[in-house]
Amino acid sequence: MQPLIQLNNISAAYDNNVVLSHVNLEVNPSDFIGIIGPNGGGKTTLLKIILNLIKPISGELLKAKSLNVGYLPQVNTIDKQFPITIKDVILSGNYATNQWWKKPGKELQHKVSELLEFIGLENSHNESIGELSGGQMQRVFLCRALISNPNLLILDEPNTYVDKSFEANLYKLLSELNDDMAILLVSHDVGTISSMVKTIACVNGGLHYHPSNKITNEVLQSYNCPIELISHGHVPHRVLKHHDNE
Amino acid sequence: MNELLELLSFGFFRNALIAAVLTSIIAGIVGSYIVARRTVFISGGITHASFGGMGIAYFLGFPPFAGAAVFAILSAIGIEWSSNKVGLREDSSIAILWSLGMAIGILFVFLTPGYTPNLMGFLFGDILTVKVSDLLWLSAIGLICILLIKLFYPVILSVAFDSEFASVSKMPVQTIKYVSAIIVAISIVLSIKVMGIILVLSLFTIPASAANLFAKDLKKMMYFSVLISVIGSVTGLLVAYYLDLPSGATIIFTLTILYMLLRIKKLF
Repeated sequence: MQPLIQLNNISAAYDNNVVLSHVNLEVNPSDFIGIIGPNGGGKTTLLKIILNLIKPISGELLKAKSLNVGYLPQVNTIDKQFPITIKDVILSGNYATNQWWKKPGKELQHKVSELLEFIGLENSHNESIGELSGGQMQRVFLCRALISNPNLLILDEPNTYVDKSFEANLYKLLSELNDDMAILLVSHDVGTISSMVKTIACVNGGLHYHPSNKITNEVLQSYNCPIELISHGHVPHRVLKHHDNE
Repeated sequence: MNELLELLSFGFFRNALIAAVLTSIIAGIVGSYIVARRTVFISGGITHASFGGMGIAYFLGFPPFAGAAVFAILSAIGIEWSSNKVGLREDSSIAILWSLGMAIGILFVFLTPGYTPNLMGFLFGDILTVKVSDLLWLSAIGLICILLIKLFYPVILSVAFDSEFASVSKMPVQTIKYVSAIIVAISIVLSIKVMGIILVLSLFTIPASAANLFAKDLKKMMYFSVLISVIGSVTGLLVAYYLDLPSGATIIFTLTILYMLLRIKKLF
């Protein structure tokens, strides 16, 4: 099977500051890769390279002809006061594959309604986005990423604003979506993502690929990935590493 | 009423009225785009930079508005280009452009031998001397604005809202950005005839901000904005005529009063 995306020996820099060096990564059709790493480690830069928003200084980026990316950016980069309706936001996700000069047909309108129903915002087509909460807005942007039926979904910190009531839904949805598309999920919340993803890439200047979703402090340390492990449970707790004699 | 009809029989007043309406249509559409994208300050920079072109054109004996248009378009393209580069302090660069344009303009108007051109007209507008050729230019740009919005609204909206996502979606982001920068520049320069360099920015921002109080999307904002702008500028023009006051100032007062009334209405 041909990979959707292949990064070969990619390096990236801003004004001579090398942010990523010699990164290799392959994304295959049924992958669910969690990208973790400290702030400033190059997670966002890696996404921007994959999305063609910045050019690497060296290395090559190969893409499958069939590649169709759905992208959920960090919500805080978006102007929440912008005069645009929820419907128009979602429809803008469709212009990647469909001609934007055509009026959206019945099928597309129906799909918008379906997506809105799924995120619990039915009948809000013509509301402006300024009236949404952070979590609702993030769900609307998720719909925008999904409306074009992508085969690769890229999510940048999707759990930042999502309210707790929707979080479980989101994770269930992602694992369902994974049947049809590859998913790249960037997160700083390691504990949350490790339960959902299939494999993990730790980005900190370079990229270390870990072909399973079991991450331990040892793994992180040996990869030079200075982040703390957080785990969620019914009782607040910290997970300490195993004793040496165990 | 008779008095108004009599007034309309004067060619200069008819032209002024048509100019006010055409300028309002352009300012309503382009102004909504500027306000929605939060590029009011950039537009201010372009407006004032155009005075440099005006001064040079005067000095060399070219039509001053052609000089203004060249300067405005170049600075609009320059700002768009530099905003794509990383690490530029945009607000400071625009402030420099702003005052440099004015300085060049003042210098060349001063150096122009012979009579001193009507500086006040450039700075505060001169709607009563509008010529038929000005009206044709205003109609042409107005028509272009309406056509562009009519044909390309979805992509203009998407690029204005989230240009990063639009570029991931392979929309023609750079083309849209440069074309719209040029349209904004030309619209501003043509409106200078009516409002003057110093006051023109308010014609682009007050109606749009008022419309923004009620409109839920950019298209509705444009409709409301044109409506508010036409009402405000025609009323302002009549007030200016009857009270013998400068029209640019009365138009802005009327628009501001309209804005405040709408603001109050929104509270209830």
